[in-house]
Amino acid sequence: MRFEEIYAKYLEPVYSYLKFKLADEYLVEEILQETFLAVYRNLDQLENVKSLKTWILTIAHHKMVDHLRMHKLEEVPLDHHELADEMVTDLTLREVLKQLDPTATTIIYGLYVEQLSCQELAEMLDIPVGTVKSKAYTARTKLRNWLKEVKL
Amino acid sequence: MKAEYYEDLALTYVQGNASLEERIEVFRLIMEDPEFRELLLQEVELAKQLSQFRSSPPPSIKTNVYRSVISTNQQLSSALTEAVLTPIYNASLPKLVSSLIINCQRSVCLNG
Repeated sequence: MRFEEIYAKYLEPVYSYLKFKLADEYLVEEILQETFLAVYRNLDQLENVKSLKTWILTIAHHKMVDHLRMHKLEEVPLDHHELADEMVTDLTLREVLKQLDPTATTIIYGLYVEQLSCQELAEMLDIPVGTVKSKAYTARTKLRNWLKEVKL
Repeated sequence: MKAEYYEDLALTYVQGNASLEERIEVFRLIMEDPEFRELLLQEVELAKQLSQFRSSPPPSIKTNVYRSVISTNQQLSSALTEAVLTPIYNASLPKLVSSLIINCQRSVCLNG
């Protein structure tokens, strides 16, 4: 697969993930550049990669963590994001997500938005699958309870 | 145990990753078990709500990032070539030949 094809196909999921985690558009752009530069320079490793999307998201995640650590920054609270106004329950959903730890929000995003498996998320976050499953269970229960409340 | 199984099955179905056997099982449970039906409805709604967090990059970012990746890679390649190959040529080839090779190499690097 050529770099241009990879870029065209995976820019959106990587951008979307970084935008979900960080509100700063400049920081998102910087991490995107570093991520795709790493992809460009490691194209020869592609034949050993099981899932291209997971591989690229893993690179992006680690670049983001490095950036936050280096500049002593934190993930921006979800209420700083600008989202579509038409979602009436949107603010409440963000409030529920804010109560989760950053790893759990990544897991929820990965499962529901990117359709990643627990195994893929474990590789991406460099944690055991059991931890992903237990964090996912707790977070999903919390989110479903919220859903029951807003639907009442 | 049953709750965990239902959760895994509902999520796999919502993700669109369910096999044929799993889909048949989902349809059976929808018909037979109100508890699973309720769980599945909640999972579908959750996926719908969370999909609002998906966003597309503005065209300026698409262009900027691509340009930056290509130009940074070219700069790195040129710098690496200068730092590694030039001393080798200088040390191992006669002066006239090494300067010719370096000029060719620069022209190749410039042309990408």
